[in-house]
Amino acid sequence: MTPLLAALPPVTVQHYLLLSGLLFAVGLVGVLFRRNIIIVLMCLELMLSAANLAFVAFSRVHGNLQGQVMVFFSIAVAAAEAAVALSIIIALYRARGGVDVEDAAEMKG
Amino acid sequence: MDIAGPFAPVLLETLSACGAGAVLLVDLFTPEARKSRVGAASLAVTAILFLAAWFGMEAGGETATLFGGSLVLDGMAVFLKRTFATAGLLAVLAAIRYEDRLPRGRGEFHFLLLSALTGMFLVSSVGDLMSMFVSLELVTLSFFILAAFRRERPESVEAGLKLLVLGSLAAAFVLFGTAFLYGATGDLTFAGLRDHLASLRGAPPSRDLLLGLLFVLLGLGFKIGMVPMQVWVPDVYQGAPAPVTAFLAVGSKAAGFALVLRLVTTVAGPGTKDSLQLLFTALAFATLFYGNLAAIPQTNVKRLLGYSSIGHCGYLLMGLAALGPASYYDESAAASGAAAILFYLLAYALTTFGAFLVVILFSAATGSDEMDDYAGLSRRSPLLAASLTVALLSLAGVPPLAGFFGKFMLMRSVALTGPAGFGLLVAGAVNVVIGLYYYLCLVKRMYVHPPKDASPLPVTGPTAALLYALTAALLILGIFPGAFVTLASDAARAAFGVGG
Amino acid sequence: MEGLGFYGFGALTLLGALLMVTSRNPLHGVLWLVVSFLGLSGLFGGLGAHFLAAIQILVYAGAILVLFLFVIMLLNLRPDDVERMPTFSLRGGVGGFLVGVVGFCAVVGSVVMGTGAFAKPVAGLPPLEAGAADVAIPLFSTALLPFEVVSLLLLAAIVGSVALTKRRLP
Repeated sequence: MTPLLAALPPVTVQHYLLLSGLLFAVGLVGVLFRRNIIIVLMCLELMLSAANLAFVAFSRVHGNLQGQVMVFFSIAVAAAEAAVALSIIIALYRARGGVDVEDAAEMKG
Repeated sequence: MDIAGPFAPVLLETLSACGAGAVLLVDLFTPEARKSRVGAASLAVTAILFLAAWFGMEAGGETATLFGGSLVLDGMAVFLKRTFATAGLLAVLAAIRYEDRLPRGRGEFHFLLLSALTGMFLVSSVGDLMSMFVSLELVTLSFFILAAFRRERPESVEAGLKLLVLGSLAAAFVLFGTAFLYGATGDLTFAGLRDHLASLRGAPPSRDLLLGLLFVLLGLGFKIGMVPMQVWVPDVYQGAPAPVTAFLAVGSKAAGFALVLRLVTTVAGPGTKDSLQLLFTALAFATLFYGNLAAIPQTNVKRLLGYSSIGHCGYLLMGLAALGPASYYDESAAASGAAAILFYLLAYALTTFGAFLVVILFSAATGSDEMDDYAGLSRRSPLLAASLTVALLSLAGVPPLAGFFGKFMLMRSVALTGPAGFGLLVAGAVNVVIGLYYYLCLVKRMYVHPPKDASPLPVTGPTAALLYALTAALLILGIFPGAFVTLASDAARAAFGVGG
Repeated sequence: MEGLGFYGFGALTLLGALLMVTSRNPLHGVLWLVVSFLGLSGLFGGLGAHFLAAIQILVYAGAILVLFLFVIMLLNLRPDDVERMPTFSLRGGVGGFLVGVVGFCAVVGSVVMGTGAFAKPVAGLPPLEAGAADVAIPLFSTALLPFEVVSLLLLAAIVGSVALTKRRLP
């Protein structure tokens, strides 16, 4: 294990940024392609987290804490969004009066 | 008159946040039989905000900052705040006419209208990217809930959910872009961004900065309903409660454009204007044609107005395309584009509420938003038909209404950029004709077609007064636009740093 | 050691994310996302953001994801029920999925790789340790306004969630 790691190039900020881009892409593609609304919401959380990782990595490069403070706000916003999203889902289930309602595509065009 | 002194930058925000809390308290202590007091309290708050914005703030004053630059009050911010205050007042007036259809929770409904308004006030004067993100989220989050507020109707809740999924997607884009802007400059303030670009002395900025800028603009594109991020607009406009739709149409669009303008005035410079101009020209083309062409086959009025609002986003983008190519670059063209956007947003706010007020009253009386049911409206209620006609003609850009002068200013700013703007001018003119066609189809239904049900639709005194006032405002803004145009162009010139 | 931390936690984060996106049962998805966020917390720790590492676990894994689990169980959602929810889905299967991820990463990757400023090894950067006190100072000075706005945002979220879900009264 250790010789294998030693053979790899040293970890740079670019590595973190690439990982962040990869996570963002996975989340984005999940939002676009998945139909399960719970999974879609989790993908949105993943996208916000990917941006958070980029912030922390940039904060390390610039040696200031502004990026980390931004992450703090982003987590607060993500929490608020999740709470509202889940209450909308509960409201949707109640409005449809159960789960055996067919696809409610009432708006088209 | 400046009533707030050094606290002017937070005057409206503080008032509306406290007002929102007060409305909740009024709701708590009001017995069920007297719930109309809640709407009255909310109306009082927005009326105070309206007066404070139009008469309590110095428009041409010095740029004031607070919170170490997090909040900036300049001419552009004052103009936008006045637009938002007007929209807020109209939204509450419209909501009061809709209240019987809310299940319960009028207090919460008005609280959320006011919290969205607070967010809009903040958005118009943010000075750093952190405040930008959280203020924008305050606006969008309030709208998620407002759109889903008629929770007994599946289409309303669905509208809320769709807005939420795409609004959060937009937030993620803005956040990711902000991260790259921070990475490129090491700072999260607009001033830091401007200094960074100035230090490049005309050299093109690094690719990570451009990537960040692109992501932030794409994220803001969701808020303004720009192609290709417009997919939520028709469904949400149709499904959300009508007062919310009107407020969303005006508020989300103006908030998005406030931030786009703030960002563009910060980054527009010798190194970036070419790519910005190309980008906005392409986006304006796509948005104009998509919105107006897709509006033609619509049969639901709210959906029609949704597609037409995408078209209006296209017109507004023309103002950004007036940034001008390098050889023709002229700060005054860019400033006139920004001034046109400010004026257009004010005109659009009044016009949209004029149209939606009729939609609310009509659906309250008949329970329908379908265009076929508008047939013969002129015989059932001449006032409703006339108000809607004036609003639609203003949206179409027919002189002498407010919408005409807004479009004229946008076209003029594009013309100032020289031959490069020629294609866009033609596209704009073609779209005005397309728009006129589908707006007149609805007008024809109201005046020519016979009504299916000839029962008259009565309009009460205060409502009629409101309709007359809005129609008068559209005429005044169209016939005597001088004072407002001066305000808008002073603000825009200051923002672009053009003297005199 | 630095390398071990990055590759270990990075692999954990990515694996959790991929398994979350592809899981059929949302309940499994939530648990995979917890794994992913634990990895992310480790990455934050490796970059010196100790406070955020703790917040990431407390708020994300501890609060947000538990809320997801709570709703799934409250509504007694089975995998098939949620498939009928209205969203904007493209249909592309695995191919579209891969094209999306690879295309997006190519753009971001080329930008990141093209900027020399970020090619520095993390170990060589000046140390940056950010505990609670270090983050609190900017939070209550330069970032005071967004802090206040977030409080308003949370209030709006609370009021809205209650308004949308409270039991129907007569």
